[in-house]
Amino acid sequence: MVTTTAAAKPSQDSSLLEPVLSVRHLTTEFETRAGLFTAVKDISFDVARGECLGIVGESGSGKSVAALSIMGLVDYPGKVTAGQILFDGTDIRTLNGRELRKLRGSQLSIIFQDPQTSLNPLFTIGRQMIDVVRAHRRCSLPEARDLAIAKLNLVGMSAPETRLRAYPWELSGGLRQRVAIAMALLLDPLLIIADEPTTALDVSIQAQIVSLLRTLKVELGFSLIFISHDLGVISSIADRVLVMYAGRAVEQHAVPSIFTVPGHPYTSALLASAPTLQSDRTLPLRVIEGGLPQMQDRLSGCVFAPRCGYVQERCLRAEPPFVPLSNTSNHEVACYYPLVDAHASDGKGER
Amino acid sequence: MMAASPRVLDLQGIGKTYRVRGQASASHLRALDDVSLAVDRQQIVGVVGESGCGKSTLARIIIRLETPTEGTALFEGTEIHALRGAELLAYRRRVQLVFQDPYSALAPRMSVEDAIEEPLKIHKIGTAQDRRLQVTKLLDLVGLARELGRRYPHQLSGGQRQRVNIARALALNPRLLLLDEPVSALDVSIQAQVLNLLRDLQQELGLTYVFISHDLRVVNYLCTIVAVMYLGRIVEYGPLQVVFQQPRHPYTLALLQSIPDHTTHSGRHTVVLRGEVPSPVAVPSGCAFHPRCPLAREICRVERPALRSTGPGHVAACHFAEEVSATALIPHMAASTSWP
Repeated sequence: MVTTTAAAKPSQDSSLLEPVLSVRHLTTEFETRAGLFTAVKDISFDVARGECLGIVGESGSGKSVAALSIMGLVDYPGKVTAGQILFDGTDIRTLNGRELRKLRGSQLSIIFQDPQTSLNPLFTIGRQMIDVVRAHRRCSLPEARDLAIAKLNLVGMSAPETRLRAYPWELSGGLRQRVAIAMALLLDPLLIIADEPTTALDVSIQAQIVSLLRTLKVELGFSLIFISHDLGVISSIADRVLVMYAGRAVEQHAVPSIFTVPGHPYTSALLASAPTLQSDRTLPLRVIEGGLPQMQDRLSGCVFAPRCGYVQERCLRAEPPFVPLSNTSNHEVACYYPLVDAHASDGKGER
Repeated sequence: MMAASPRVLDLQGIGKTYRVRGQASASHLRALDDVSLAVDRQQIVGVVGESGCGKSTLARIIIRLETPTEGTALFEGTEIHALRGAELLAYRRRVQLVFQDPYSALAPRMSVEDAIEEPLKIHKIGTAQDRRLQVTKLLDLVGLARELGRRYPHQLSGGQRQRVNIARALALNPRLLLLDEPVSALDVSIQAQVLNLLRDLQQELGLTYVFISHDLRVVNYLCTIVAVMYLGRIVEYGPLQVVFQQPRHPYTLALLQSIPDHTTHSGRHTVVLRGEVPSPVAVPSGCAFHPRCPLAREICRVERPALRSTGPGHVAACHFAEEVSATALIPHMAASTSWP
């Protein structure tokens, strides 16, 4: 699978091996009246070409702030205070506003949760799509229009020519999300970040959108960061999953192993607390007692320690580093006492 | 038998039509069409369906926020919408509603204690002292620390707020609790806490629940009976385990198949339901599901299927109900789904 964009690069082979996105020690903080709030703390991850990285976490875990940081969209009172965000070899943090705007919407695009609010209700779909094209590319109006029609076709919109004249509010939630995906695809991006793109949709429509993104990713070869709180949705699209908790990355591993042999107690508890159609109805669901740490709680050790069932004295003293289970493992866990050893988790997911 | 102990809730042929004023002419939105639902004591009946299927309208009719345009709604044998005066007050004590969004359901300037006490005050129950005692008991019952009583909604987490709403709904000792998507706005780990609480309370207090949800995973965990709705009609109804393991309506099957599941990875392999729910202003002819149905034939376009028995206590509205399980296999039943 060779992407068109990657093929245009001079050094083909090496650029294919390099990750599209490499985030290192990203920290994003917000100034609040109560002091500095660290929304994302020291997270590192890569996204390979054509890969889908799932980011899963509950509200307040920092997954959306991480996405906005990558897009360079964090505004005052928030600020990316440390780390590197290497996108296709360039550190996004070093770019100025003009350079960022050039990147966003062309090589790097984002799909938000609610297309009702991300699309402008005052303009037609066509106008908004054509504007995006013409902001990045010198082309005539008919050319831009043709491109918009082509992308609407790609996302399975019937009668795209007529749809161009529609306003966002004339479309259903599912169709609006298809428009948002078509807009993200307009300039053949290398990476698309989808932040809870199916959360506002009904299950049958959710399944359609997930399946569409999965197919497009294979056909067009872009990379995808898919953010969701829904473990089921994540498992149906991601190749690899990063689990976030209270602004930290706590675990990262391939699908399906992360679901079958979770290493971090939080991941394990999260999996057990989500009801599925297989859940044993006679047993109570496992709960994670307590709630997220409040910003005033200055914790010295592991952020999950107050809610962890396996907590030891060491966990309260210092924060565990986010490291691979072993030298050869691609399974990273931020825990002193992971629930699996490196050998078990490198298997094909058998329990 | 019916006369000896009337059902907690007995809805017969409920219909609700709204007039929609369009540009040219007034049209009608059929929110509910011939909905019959019987709820017995201590049952947990799940009402599932996608947005626009009428499940919330149904709850609003039961709670008397809406009046049905057709049919009768009986609570313990008495027509709900004919109640007046003291009887109406008594009804309002016996039936309570918990909404989806735990934040907007609470007055921001009322403390937790005041919010829970309010229904007792409205119904003039007990002295001020009795009521305070009752509030403390309710806080204990829903697992909230007593100190939280003096807090305000913005100082609570989503799960705590929903516990307050549940405590408030329980303050008047209701028999029937209508739960309209009570855990949809909550995080997974918090959702589990509230679901466990709801299950414990039901057993402890012998309550009857009508549980409205779009999430079949949650319904599967909590409910004993399930009613599946599509475009204002009940298309399938029966004991939960029967309906979920052997659905007799293609829509139910499709919904079950659409649920991605991290334990079986089923989402990767399923065929998705094509198209979207049509507008309730222009309900398709015949079977309303036919434009999206893989089993649809000529008769489905013309003749609306009636709900008919497909097993003990199990009804489905499909001309080809018997073919449903044969044509497609529920992915979660095929436990050996292979990983890619």
